[in-house]
Amino acid sequence: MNNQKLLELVKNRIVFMDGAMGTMIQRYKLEEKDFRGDRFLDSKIDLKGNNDLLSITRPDIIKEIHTKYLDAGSDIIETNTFSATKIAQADYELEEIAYELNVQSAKIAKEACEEFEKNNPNRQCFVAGALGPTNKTASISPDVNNPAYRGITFDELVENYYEQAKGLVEGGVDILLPETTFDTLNIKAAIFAINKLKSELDKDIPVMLSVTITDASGRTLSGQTVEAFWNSVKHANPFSVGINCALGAQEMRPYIEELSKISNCYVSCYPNAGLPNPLSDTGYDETPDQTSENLKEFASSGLINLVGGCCGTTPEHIKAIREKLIDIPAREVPSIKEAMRLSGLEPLTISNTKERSQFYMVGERTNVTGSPRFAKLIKNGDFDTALNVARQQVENGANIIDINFDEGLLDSKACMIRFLNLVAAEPDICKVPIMIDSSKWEVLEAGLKCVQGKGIVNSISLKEGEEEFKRQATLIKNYGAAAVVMAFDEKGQAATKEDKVRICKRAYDILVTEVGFPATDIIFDPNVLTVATGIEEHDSYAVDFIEAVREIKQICPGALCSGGISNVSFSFRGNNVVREAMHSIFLFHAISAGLDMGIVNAGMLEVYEEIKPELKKKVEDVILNRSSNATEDLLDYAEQFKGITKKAREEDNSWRETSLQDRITYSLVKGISKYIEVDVEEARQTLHEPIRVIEGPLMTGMKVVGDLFGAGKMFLPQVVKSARVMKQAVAYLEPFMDKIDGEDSNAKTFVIATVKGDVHDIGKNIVAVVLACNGYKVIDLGVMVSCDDIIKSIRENNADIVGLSGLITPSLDEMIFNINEFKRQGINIPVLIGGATTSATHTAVKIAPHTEAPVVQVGDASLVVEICNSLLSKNLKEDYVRELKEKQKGLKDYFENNKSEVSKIESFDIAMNSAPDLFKDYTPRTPNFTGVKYFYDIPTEEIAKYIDWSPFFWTWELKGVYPNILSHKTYGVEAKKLFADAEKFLDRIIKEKIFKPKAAMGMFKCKRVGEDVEIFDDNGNTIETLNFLRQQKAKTKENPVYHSLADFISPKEDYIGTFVVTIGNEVESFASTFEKINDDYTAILIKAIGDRLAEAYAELIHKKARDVFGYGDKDIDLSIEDLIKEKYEGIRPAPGYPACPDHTEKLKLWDLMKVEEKLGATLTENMAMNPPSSVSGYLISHPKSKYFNILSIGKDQLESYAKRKKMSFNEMKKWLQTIYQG
Amino acid sequence: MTKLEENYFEKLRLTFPEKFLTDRSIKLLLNACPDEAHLKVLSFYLGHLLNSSSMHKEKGRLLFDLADESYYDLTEWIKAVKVFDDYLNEHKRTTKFELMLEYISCSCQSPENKLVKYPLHDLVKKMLDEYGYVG
Repeated sequence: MNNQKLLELVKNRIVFMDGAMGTMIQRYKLEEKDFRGDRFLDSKIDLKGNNDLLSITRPDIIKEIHTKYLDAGSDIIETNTFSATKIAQADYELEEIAYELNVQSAKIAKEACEEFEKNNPNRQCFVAGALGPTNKTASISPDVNNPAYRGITFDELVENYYEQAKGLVEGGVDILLPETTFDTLNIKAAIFAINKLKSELDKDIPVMLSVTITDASGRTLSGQTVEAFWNSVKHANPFSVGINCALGAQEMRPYIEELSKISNCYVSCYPNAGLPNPLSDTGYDETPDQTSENLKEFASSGLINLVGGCCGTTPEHIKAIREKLIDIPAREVPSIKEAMRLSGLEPLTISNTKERSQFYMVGERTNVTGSPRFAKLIKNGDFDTALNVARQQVENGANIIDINFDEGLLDSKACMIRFLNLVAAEPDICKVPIMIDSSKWEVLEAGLKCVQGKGIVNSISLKEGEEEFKRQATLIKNYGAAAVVMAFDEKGQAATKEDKVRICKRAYDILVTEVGFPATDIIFDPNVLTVATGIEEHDSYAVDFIEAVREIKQICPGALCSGGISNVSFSFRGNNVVREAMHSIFLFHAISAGLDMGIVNAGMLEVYEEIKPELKKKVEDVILNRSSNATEDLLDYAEQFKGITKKAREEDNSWRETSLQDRITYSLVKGISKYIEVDVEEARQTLHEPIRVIEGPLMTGMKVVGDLFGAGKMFLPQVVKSARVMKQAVAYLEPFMDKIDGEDSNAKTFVIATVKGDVHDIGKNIVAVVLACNGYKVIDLGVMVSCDDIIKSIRENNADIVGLSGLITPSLDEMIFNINEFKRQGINIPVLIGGATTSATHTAVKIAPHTEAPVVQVGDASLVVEICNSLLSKNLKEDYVRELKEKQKGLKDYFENNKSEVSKIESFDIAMNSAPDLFKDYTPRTPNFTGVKYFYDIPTEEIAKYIDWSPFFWTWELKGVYPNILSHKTYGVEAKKLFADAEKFLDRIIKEKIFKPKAAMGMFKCKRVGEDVEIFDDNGNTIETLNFLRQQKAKTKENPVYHSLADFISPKEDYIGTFVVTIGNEVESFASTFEKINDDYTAILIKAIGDRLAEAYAELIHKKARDVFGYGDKDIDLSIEDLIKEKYEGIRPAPGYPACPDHTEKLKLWDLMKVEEKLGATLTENMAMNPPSSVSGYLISHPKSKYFNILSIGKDQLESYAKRKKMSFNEMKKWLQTIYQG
Repeated sequence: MTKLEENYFEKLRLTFPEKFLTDRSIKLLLNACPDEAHLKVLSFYLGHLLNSSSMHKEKGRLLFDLADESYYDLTEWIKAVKVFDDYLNEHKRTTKFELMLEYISCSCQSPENKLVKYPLHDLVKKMLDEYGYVG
């Protein structure tokens, strides 16, 4: 009855909704007691702010607000149920009253309406049951480190929304209104739940849908555009669709206009009163007059049918809106052209008309049955790299991506859920619609619950009979997807044209007439079968498909046709030239017949017009079955193309035809060593003197390299490869040189060293190579170089510049020591400072003031040439040094006058007392051994599985995250080459067992005493005490916790692990073999691999430690990728890092595990580990243990710490200078 | 009670739901704001944040949590927000508050700020000037 009244009203005029409930409740300035009422007096948590609860505890207020809106002119009022789901009420531990809240709220609103209508018989009012978005999102992970994780599932949302909708209907609502949609998957769950309820009640309840566009990007929080959203929810057949919240009317206009054009139902709009603005009188930007004026323009433009207000709007706003809009005609619902309307984050409309010329490609490489590479990645749990396959499909032009995990050894359902959740976090992939592909219904259904867009199910068929077909189709419709329907029935797969057409027509009739499935959501796949198999009856398979498509498109209006294109050419596997031609020719004819889309590898299609005429004719004979010996002819002809790869076809040696200088430059720029000796010899024959070859064509080529690098057009790995070619060229020339020849008299000399106490040299080596490439004579003194040796080398070589490098913080003091010595001994040459812990600011404030000589920090190898050139140029030096010194003085003055406002330090006593008791309900895990275990024979292959590759690329200044960096638009090409080289060498290292990784893992009984952890032997004797620090920077939380690692150890009895891993001295020795043959590129590559292996080994040892602690079962479902991302319980903090920044604690690990004796690894005086590819740390098993940053400590804690460590205050202060705030 | 708290507590209370900002949080913000100009900018972004998601409780804690886990206090963070806003206005751009806060948080961890600590608003200005902002 009310449905009819509502329809009549909306046909006649614009319908007015109400305004904000929350804003009105705020005006009542309610207290905690109002929210509690009598019933919830004993609640353990604050209930203030739980507005929905007021329907039970202060129904008088809620009813009064409803009445105010009705008085103001609202035709529809919304129930006070925005957060009345179990999910949202969990914040207040009131899940059990969710249903009651809905019933009660609906009754209050209904009562208000009935009373109002009684007093105003000329008005008809309606109650819309509000279903809020909940505080959880189904397609966005709340954990940035775990994009596959979801805080809520589709099924949980359906359960919650079903309960809510049922309560609202029981309470008497006229309309159901899922609103303020941030995440389309949430509203799809609401639609599913409402459909279920409507079906059970056998009742038609009008549904209004409303989405929230969060900002000027014009997208929902989950990333969809307005049209993509509409395509995703259109299956609800809503009474209206609209936009509310987040934006004011003005900002909302373009999106309302768009929605108004594309939707074939009524359109609603209820914006905020502008933005929250506490400085304005109303708390929001817009007055009633402004909001109503803006909305009047919407109405005058014919954009809306229903209008109201959201946050910040009041009865005054609604009154003003009604007064201004009541006489303006409502929007006319347009007739929208029929088409398949899909969506990812963006819409994809496929119109089924003859004039359409576009063919839509479905990417097929994310299918374990069709892509061995994808299958391997998934089997190895490498979902990140597998995502790259999806990304490449989209980049190669796929309009839709097909995803399939049907493989016997895989848990297809789990893989589908995980992969789709990961895809949802990648906007450049999930912008296109997803085709969920499986032969198992449970996998298809699991996939449907993961995609917010309108996707496609691939596939269903009549194979299992009509009933199952109808059941599945009905569910697909309710999930809001399109479906591929295979030409398959109870008797089997259709092979002939007649069978294909018959089965498709039968399926079409069932779907359209019995299930109510939109014809435009049907895609028939009449089975592409393999031709040229040698079996005669297969010869007509392609032509049968093509002709079947032609007829299906005629007799099944609205439906589309698709097919798995590569099936047609299976008989030519291994012959890509022929296969690509077959795909193109088959598609050419099928598209002409009406084929709309195809599952195809976009990278495996030849351009039809570019196929060689003879090949084209022979393939066409096969595809169109034009002659009885077509197959034999093609087979004979195809022999010549066997094994020819695309790469081979594309290899281009035309650069060898260019001038000598161009060839040398090309070799240097491209890092090609193959022809360099031939070309250098030609240059030597021409120029006669080797030095002229170096200073002439080679340096000209290197200048091009330097210029391209400086302009950001070449990247570090390329430059280092260029250096390798250069060195090869010089090495070739050396036998032809006499001593005088060999010295470039103009070259400037650069002495470089890693300072005493430090062993890290990758960055230093890169700088050395870059400078050498640019004509500098580089004297590399290596690592752990004493100040005396550096000074000696500067003098012996008459150096022009000296470079000091170091990775660990104590090296900074060593650098200062060096500079003071340089000054004392009268050395005034410029000094370059480099290394991960150095910074331009620190150099200016703490290092440069020690000398008059220029001191420059080099933050990036790409800058070093320009810096050195400026420092040594007669013309530039003066200005450069003056500017440098002015800048450094400015910084020094700035820091003296503008010290950072020291954040408040809490007293150490208070910080100590904040320590949480993490053992109240937790018994520490007991390891399955105590003592120390040593590992000498874990194969590198096993360790390599745990490599996190991202930092490897950062070493080479390729900024990005693996595996995405491999397809990065700027770095991708070089990253791929670099990665291929790394994989090649890693393979060699593994096969030849070049590295000898070793590790020690200790497990000790222990207990916490304050911030210390006492370590015991098996007899209970204290053998060591680990000292930890505690956070002290004041926090804003009411009861803050100031963390210390010690808190994760029980004060009674517990166990702590310790570990040291090292990849061994073999890393340096293997790298040196390449340094000796002038191949710095490979040497640096090997050291970088060594570093990655050390980190990987630490991850592996941590995994073993969790097994020792009995975490094995919990780790079982974690892939290696998960382990690399540390998605497990327990931590492995390292001394010297933020949670335990004292490097000297490493000494205790060395003693406890006899590291030097057993592993051969040592600590330098500055606590750097040697060999450099080593990692050490603690193994803490408490499930709540986490990483944190100590940030800063006060004098009180430093005094206590020094005392506990039996070190002097000043000594301790030196080691902790970066965090001490005295 | 500061003047800002005296003048603006009720208004902020009216504008922001309890679930998003508790009374205590509002007082902390008002006491940390150097002046009205900072409060205006901060309120603008908090308003955006409030409207950008239904996860009000988590979003309302964001600024406080990030400040707590950094070297800097709330006042420094609010000053940095103002500097960031000035930068956006100068470049005729807008951004999401969460992205702005992430940028400020990343600035705190910049190598330039490891050994010698800049005042946060200057550090953020330096980062914006040197590296720009893509978000």
